[in-house]
This record gives sequence, C-alpha cells and structure tokens, in this order.
Amino acid sequence: MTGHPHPEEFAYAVGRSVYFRYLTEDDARGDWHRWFNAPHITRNLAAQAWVNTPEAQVAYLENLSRTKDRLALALIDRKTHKHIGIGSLSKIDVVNRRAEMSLVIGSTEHQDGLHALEALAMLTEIGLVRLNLHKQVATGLATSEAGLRLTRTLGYVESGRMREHAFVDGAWVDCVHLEIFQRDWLTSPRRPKSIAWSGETR
Amino acid sequence: MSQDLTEIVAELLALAPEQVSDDMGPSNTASWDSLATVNLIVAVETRYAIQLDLDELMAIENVGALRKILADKGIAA
Repeated sequence: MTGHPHPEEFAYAVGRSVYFRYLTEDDARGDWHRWFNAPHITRNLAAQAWVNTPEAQVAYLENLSRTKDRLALALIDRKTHKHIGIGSLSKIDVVNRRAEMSLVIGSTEHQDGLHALEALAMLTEIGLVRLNLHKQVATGLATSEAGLRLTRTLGYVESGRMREHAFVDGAWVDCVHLEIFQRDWLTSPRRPKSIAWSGETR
Repeated sequence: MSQDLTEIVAELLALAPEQVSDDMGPSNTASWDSLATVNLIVAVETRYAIQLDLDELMAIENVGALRKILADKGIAA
C-alpha cells in the first residue's frame, strides 16, 4: 500500500483477509499495550492481576529482537491495514523442533472467528512449514471456549489439562493443552492455500 | 429457501427461523461472535458429513455464502 508506513509487501506472511508483519514501537505504545489491560482480553489470558504500560510493552519488544526462541508478529487486517492483534510462536526449540502458539485478537470488531481462524492457520503454517517444526502446541483456559474450538477446528487435539490452573473471575479454571504434528498438518484441508511469504508477490 | 441451514443458524443464534436471512453474518448480527462461527462450522460439517477447506471457511461471510458453498458441493441446504 503506497504511503503506508509498514507496507504489506514487507509483511512476513500474507493471507486472504489478514497478514503478519514485524512489530514496531508505535504498535507497543498504541493498541498493543492497551489490549493487555482490557478485561475482555486479560480474562482469557489469566492476566488480570497486573497493569501493562507502554514502557513495559516497548521493553518486551526490545527483548524480542535479542531472542531466537520467540517470534511475535503484528496481525493486520488487509482491508484497512489496521493492527488488530498479536500472534506468536514462543519457546521455539530447534533441537526438539517444537513451539507454543498464541494469538490475541484485540480489535473487538474483528472478533468474528474468521480472522482468528485464518491467523491461527497461518501461525501453524509458519511453525510447521516455514520453521519446519515437528510439533506445535497451543494452550488455553477451559473458559476460552471459542479459542479452543477454533484451534481444534484446525486439527489440534487435546493432549493434556492442568487442573485449576488459573483464578479467573473468582473461580479456578483448568488450562487445556492442544497440539498438532507436522505430518498431520501437511495433509490437512485446513492448510492455507493462498499464503504468501515475505518477498513473494500475491 | 431450505429450512435445514436456516434452522441450524437459528438454533445457534437463538433466533426464530423466520428471523434468519441470507445476508446475515458476523458483521451485521450482534449475536454472531467467534463462538457462533466455530459452532456453525462444526454443526454444518457434522450435519452434512463434509470437511470444508480453509478457503471455504474464510468465505463464510454470511448465511448466503455458506449456502452457496454447500450448493457447490451438491448439497441443497
């Protein structure tokens, strides 16, 4: 997009309705840090006890540039180029070839399930195809029903559960582990057919 | 309009079937949230014994779009 400060052609991965790009300090000082103070988001992350600040978010961003065990990306709506969420692969283990996936859709108008579904599929493709990992893991609170079901829709299966793992809204909540293997993803109809990587034209 | 898909959508959104129209989707229906989307996917795949690919899922912008996807598979919904 001509004139846009972070044009789509420099995106890390481009899908049908969203793309992932690098995170910036403007992101950290903008919506990104605000999302992690918003109850409708922190409730699903069991992260309601502390506040988040622009400075803390900038510090997190600076740490990102010094590590290779975490890949965090801004999720952008292709129609508006609005920053709508954050996707990440963390605990990237290149010896055992596994990582943990997470996604936060901060923009309420994009919490329709479809943006999340494509973003989760793209993160799975990034981990299991671009990074050639053997297994990808996703964890979520049992109360985060939509997130867990969307992840299951992509073929992730439950492999474990930590009981009463988080205290949310006055109640103990289980944490559910879901995982998928590369061999299962490669033959899945849920794989994105039209993803474009950085440097490719879409 | 066949009642089948309409009834699935009505049940998921807690609406009467006559309140469901083909132009209804997450962008214009307050109760159509991410949970409704994934529940609709699961309900349709179970009802018609199919598995939609990601591009088909991403095209479900409204009830009519889903009906067309099913019609393209030879399913009158």
